[in-house]
Amino acid sequence: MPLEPEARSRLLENTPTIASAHEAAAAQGDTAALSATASVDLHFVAFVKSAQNNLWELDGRRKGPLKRGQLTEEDDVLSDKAVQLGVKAFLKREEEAGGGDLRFSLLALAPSFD
Amino acid sequence: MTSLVHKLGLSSTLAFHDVYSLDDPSLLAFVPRPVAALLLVFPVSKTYETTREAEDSSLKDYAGSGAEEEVLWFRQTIGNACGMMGLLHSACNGGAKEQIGNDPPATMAC
Repeated sequence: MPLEPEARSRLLENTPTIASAHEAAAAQGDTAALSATASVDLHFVAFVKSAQNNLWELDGRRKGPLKRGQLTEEDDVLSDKAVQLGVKAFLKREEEAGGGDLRFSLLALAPSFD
Repeated sequence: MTSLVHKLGLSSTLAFHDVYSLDDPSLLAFVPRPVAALLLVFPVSKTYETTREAEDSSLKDYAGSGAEEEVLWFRQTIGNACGMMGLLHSACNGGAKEQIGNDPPATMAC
C-alpha cells in the first residue's frame, strides 16, 4: 500500500467504520468492554505467508514486520514447517527468556464450514 | 472475531477457527485447509516485553510502503486494539486478501 506505517496508523485511528465495528464487536459477549486507556493483558500476533513464500510474524507493537523463514509453495501457515518457524519458535523464545508456562490460544483464518 | 472480520468486508468463505493443539494430528485435522493466517493470542508478560525489546533493539523503524512491500504491517497506536490489529494483519495478507469485497472498510486499510 502506498501509505507509510505512520500514515496507516493515522488512517486506522480516523476511520469511523472500523472504530464502530470494533466497538460493536467488543460490546458483544459476556465480558464488559474496557476503555482504550485501561491496561489489558491480551496480545495478538499474526503469522502469514507472502506471495514470495516467506513466513512473516506481524505484531503491531514491534518495529516492523518480522521475516521468520522460507516456506514452500505447498505450505500454508499451519503446515509443520510454518508452525516450527512461526508459533513454536515464538514459544521457544518466550521459554528461553524465562517465560515458562505461556497460556496461549491459537486462531486460524481458514475456509468456513458453511 | 469471525463476525467482526465479515463486517469489515472479508468474504464469508473465510472464518476464524480455534486450533486446539499443535501436536495432536487428530485435533489439527479439525481445521479446514489451507489456513490463510494464524493468530497467536496470549497475555502480555514481562518475558514478552523483554524478548520484544531485545530483538527490536537492533532493528530500525519500519518505513516500507508501496507495491514492493512483501507484507502489509500496521503499527498499533490505538490502545487495546491488538485484536483489531491481529485481524487486519490476518485479513490483509496471504491468501485472505483476495477475498475482500470492493466496498467495505477493510479495503481502505488494505
